[in-house]
Amino acid sequence: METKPKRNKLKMSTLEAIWGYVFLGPWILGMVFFIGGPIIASVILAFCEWDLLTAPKFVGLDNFGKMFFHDPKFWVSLWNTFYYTIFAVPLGIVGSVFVALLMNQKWKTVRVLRTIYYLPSVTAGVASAIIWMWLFNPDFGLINYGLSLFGIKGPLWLASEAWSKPALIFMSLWAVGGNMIIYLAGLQGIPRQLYEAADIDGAGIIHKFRYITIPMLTPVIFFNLIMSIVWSFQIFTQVYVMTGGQGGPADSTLVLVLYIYQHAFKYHHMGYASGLSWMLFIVIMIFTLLQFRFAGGWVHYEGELKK
Amino acid sequence: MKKFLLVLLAVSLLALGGCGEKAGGSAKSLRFMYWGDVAEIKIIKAQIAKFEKATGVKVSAERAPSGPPYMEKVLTQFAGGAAPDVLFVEVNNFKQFAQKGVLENLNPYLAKETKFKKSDFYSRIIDRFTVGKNLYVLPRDIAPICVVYYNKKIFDAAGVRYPTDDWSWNDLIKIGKKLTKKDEKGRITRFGFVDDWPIWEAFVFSNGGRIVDNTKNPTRCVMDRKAVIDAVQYRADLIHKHRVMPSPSQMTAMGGMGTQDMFMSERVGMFFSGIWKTPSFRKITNFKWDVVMFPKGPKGERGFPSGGSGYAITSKCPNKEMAWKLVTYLAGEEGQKKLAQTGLAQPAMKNIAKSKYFLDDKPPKHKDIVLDGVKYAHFMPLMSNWEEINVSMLAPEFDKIWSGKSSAKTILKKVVPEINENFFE
Repeated sequence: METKPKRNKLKMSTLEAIWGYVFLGPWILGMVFFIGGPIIASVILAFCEWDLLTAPKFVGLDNFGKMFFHDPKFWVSLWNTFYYTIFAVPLGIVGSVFVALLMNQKWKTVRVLRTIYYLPSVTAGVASAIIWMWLFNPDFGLINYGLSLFGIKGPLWLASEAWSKPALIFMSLWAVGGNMIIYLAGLQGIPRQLYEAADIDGAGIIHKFRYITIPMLTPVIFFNLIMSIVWSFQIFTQVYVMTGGQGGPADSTLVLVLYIYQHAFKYHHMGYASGLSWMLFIVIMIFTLLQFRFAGGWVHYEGELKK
Repeated sequence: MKKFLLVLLAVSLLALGGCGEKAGGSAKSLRFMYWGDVAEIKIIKAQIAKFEKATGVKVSAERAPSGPPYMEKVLTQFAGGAAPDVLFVEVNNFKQFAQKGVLENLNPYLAKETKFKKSDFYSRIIDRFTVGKNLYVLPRDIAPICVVYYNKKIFDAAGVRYPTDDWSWNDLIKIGKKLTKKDEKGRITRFGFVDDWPIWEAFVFSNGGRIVDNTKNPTRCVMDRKAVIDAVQYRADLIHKHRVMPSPSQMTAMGGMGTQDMFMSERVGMFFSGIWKTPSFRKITNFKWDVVMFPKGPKGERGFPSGGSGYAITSKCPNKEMAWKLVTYLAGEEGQKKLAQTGLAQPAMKNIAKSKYFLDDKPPKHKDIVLDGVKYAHFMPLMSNWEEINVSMLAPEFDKIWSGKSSAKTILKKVVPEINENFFE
């Protein structure tokens, strides 16, 4: 190759690399200006006070001091978010796996059913929140009507302090179809030989489920667990629509992102809201790291536990 | 090589193309931001057209939805250095701007103005928009929240005489009870009285209570005094003791129907709000209604919260003389006359409010009550943190009172020291 006369000054690989950067260019520019820049700005703002009208004022760790020691609502919102996550995530996973198992059967109608289960995840958050508001209506909603057929007097749901969070959790379950698709793919990726080998050894259905299906699904469940927790911590749209942005009644549905929104756009404390946002990030980070740490104990990759 | 350069050019053009419009107005154009419903938009557009014709200066008027979205939009523009030149402001969102130095002092312009002078306006609204010695907003309307709309048909059917202005809180209870109707299951199908939103301030002011020690320079919240506690408890009693007003859960149970819809669909006999509901009610045919002033408190006193709005010029506006001229077109006599005719708002200029532009023979017949109402108008504390206090501390705690879970005394004795500690140190 050295005898070939050099036409371009650039080597083939360098040229390809340049093309790569050129194509990446728009995305990188977008990332830097629209995501990176604001992230850096919010880090700085977390240590400032800013009301949008006058210039930001540096206040050091004041925002965090206030958050931890003088703001009971911060802890309330953190608790509300935890409560929602602790129930919604496990129930969501169990629900999605269950539905995926059902949808993995060889029925004629299974394709239609899969679509039906998936539809709720593609509806707009606001629209579905409004529909659920009607369903939860204490006097005319279908849920309390259904309960009344069994002789049970339904609670006030969104108007009750005790039942508002359970209402949100029930509502989140209608989107199991979204994760069902992922589990379905996971189920279909389990090698058939494993089941056949188990059959030869005389394993029953429960046995097969416990020792083949679940372990082979653990990577998918792990991925889903992390994504669900990250997502649940950030719940906002439904709460905002269903409680009119108040987090009521009496702050029972004041989740952390709603609290951030209130501070940023209602009270115009941009600095404090930025501080809260970073706290949310740190909390989610801690949970994610914890999950990775303990993954070795239960996640099986390719039939082997990842140590 | 050529292809490479072309792509580079395309990418850099894309990046530059994202740059937005130049901020602010210039000598030949003004930017104006406002909110309003259909009737107001028509009037504003007509006045702007006149202004453009008379001066040759283009006005780009931007309308934003009223309430929190308006403030969000305006504040974002301020933060981005692209604040409008003329701004529509009302008595409550004024507190965000009041002490920040972002609005222009209008006194010098008003002094030079030949078409009207400061004393033409109601002094209370001028005072509200004044900080220190500077007037920052030229008022367009004042809205004492003292209007109790009542459905004449319901009154006639129940055999109750129409209330007169000197009725008392006890009369309110008695009349409310007579208008309330229940069905066979004991569920209330028609209530006697409802307020547009929990207007507890009206009860507090009518009972001689106060919210803070000094509206313009608050240093303490004084809502734990007996007058305030009794007033708030009275409103809660209307819901739970006398059952003439719906509770929050009964409101939720009406499935999205608001208080105004309740009045319009005859689910309530009396509706308490400000005069701005007039255009909507005028549109309903076969609806006989009138208004009466909110009743006197137990000590014979009157007091109500008040709204009001006007126009301000931002301090960074490059062409303030022209901006002032636009303001005179919008808030001057002609603009106010047109507004008065829609019945939507009470003009801030005293003689227009008293004239037949406002006091015409369209319903409600007794709309002159709002002219009297001005003397008893109070405003909310002028501090930028009041929104936070209201939304984060008062509203959720008051929720407990309105839903009957706690008494006014317990809640106020608990929350007022917290407010004082967190916001007034």
